Amino acid sequence: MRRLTLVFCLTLFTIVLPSCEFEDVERAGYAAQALVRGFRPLTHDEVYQMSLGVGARIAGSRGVYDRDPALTKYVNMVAMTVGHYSDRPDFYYRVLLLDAPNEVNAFTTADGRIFMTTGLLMMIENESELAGILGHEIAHAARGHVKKAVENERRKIALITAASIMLEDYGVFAEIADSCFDIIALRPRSRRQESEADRYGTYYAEAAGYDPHGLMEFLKRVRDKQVNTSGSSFKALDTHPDINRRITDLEETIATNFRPRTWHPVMITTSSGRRVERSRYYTAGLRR
Amino acid sequence: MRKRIPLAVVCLPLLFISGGGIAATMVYVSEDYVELRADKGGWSDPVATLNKGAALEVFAGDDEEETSYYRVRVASGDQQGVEGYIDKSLVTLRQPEEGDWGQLAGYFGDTEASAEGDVAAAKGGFGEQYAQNCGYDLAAVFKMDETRKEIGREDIHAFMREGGVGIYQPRGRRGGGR
Repeated sequence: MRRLTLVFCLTLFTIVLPSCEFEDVERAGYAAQALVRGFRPLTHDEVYQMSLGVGARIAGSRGVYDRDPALTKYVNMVAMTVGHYSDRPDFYYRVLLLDAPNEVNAFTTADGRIFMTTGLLMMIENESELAGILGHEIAHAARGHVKKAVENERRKIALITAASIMLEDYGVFAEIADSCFDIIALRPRSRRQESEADRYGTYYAEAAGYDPHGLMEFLKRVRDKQVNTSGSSFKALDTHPDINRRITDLEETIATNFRPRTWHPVMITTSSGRRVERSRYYTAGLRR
Repeated sequence: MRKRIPLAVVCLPLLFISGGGIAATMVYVSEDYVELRADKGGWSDPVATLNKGAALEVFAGDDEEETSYYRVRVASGDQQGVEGYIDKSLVTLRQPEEGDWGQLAGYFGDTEASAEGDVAAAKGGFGEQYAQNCGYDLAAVFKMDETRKEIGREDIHAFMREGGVGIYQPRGRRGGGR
């Protein structure tokens, strides 16, 4: 494998080098280095910077919902609880709520930032559903889906990336960042990755003590609403692949992996002594 | 028989003492950029960031079901001596092999120093510059990093205890279907 990678890079270098207008060997050497860097996995700091840029664009495109700090804190604590049972419990999972009541969607960056629309939160009926959705997003980060997607893209534009490193050319970086935004926020992920995120997200949520049916039940409700509101401004999971297939796959995952048992909703007692499901309590402000 | 008893009495404690001294288990980080935590749990503050292959000396393995963490001390490198907690799933008993990249980079002279150059460039803030120049909401994304300050250890424990989830879920409810 090592030899194959080396041969591949050397071949690519040989093909690309003549097309470059480098005047001396030293610069050609830099080009080789830059090319190899383009094929190297992203460094920790590169992942952080990419996530900052892409996250800022996602936040800027929708606007931030910051009118209810208790809701933001609540969603973050569910994410932290589920993240503790993920493949990367050391990641710092944090959630930003997006002010988009007519959109049902969520996004993840490679460093564990999760962006969730208020439209999605308004559709949640219990905390297990929220845990399942957050588990899905956490799985994208913990299983390295986002990072791999960006690395694949970077390989395609290895020369441009290398040039941006060499020349510290902001314009070139903007091009790459735009491309990363497309990968994270616009393009549907591969069915394999979505299926894996659904499966692992459900594992994480269940391991954290939540009903594993949460994500599946939520997807069913989204599907039903899509059918009933076709043609309206309702946008749901439009960056995700076929919802029916996802539901079928999840049914199979749950039947295969979890023993049937009775699950109880997470209930809390309000200051007025009323018993209420916890997610309903915190999202009540959105529904008014 | 009289001679054997004192010998056993002398040898047995020695066995324990020497065993305790030698048995400082070494484990190795199995992923890149793993954060060592001040306490058990991903919500705890990071005390060090470790790369794949970093050697750690294990103090004690806590085998309680709800705590899958090792308490460790970094055994080498510039963070040597730093102590913290690491999830057991992120370490191995054998040192992981260097990946394709490590060898390939050597052929082109992409040494540790030049990798550091990349890191320095990244720290220069190209993502920040991008967001600022495009007018995107960088402040909102930075504010996300404050979450850990706003949600303390007591908050997350109270939250899990109240809902009977996470480390406070009833033992009989544990499934783990994987």
